[in-house]
Amino acid sequence: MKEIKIDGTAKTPSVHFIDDGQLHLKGRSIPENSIEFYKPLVDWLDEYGNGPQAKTEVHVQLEYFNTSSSKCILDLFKKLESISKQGHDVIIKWYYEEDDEDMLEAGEDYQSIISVPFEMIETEV
Amino acid sequence: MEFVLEDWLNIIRKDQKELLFFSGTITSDVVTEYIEKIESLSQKMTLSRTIEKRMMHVTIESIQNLYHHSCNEPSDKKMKKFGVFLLSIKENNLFLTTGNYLKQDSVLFLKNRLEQLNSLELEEIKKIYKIILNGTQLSNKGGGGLGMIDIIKKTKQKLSFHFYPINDRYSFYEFKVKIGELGQ
Repeated sequence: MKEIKIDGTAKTPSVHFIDDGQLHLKGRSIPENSIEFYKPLVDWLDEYGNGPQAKTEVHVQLEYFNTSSSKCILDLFKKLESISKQGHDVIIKWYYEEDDEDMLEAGEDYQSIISVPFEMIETEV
Repeated sequence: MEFVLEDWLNIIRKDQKELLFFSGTITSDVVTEYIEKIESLSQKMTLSRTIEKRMMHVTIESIQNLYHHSCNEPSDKKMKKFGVFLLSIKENNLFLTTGNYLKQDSVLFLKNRLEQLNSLELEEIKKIYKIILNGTQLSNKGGGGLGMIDIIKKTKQKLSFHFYPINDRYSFYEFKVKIGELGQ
């Protein structure tokens, strides 16, 4: 499977999805058209779900994201949830900067919606 | 009383320390330019990380709301996708004010929605946020109605808004929110 490697921009996060099960999303996500940015990532996960690794680790380290991205991020997580439901090991590692209570709460919101284990990781600024 | 844009601008800009102001056509380039300006501004100000990120978040969300929902100016000037935003400090509080023209048929819906959101307690807002996040399909204009809810959730403030009738087709929509207290 072809990996996805996208550099971050002023409005979109860096992405590195590899089929060894290590997935990274980092930076900021504030595009005007989030669907356009996230659709290839959702499609990639769809295909990855056909033959996933025994363990998939997803690292999400966002500075901030707009509400249209929040919906797309949930779509990514729902794909991960269906991989998890097939009996594969999936973990979402949600990074937030110390004192950034809003980003921690955003992670907890996803955690309460999605049936995949989350690990909340505080990072130093 | 007749709505005069220049008078409204004078009122919202009065007695405040202005950090950022824009009035004109909201394009994707304007959004990008002002995101960079807010970032550079936040680096110069000594804000707590929470307020800094909240300022970034609320301002970007509101500017993108203008980008998606602004109408053309209905006056003779007919400026396209016209919007105003002002980030300012008054009495040690950080405020964001936006303004845009709106078609009359959207006014009642928006007014009811804002009044409904303002009537809810924060815990109810948080519940609704999760329900809409998990339930509504994303519209091609944005987050499926999450923007305002997210602003209340983050600022923990009621929204202030006003609709000024222009004519039988348009109103002018003023939106204001306190982002937070400086030094918090």
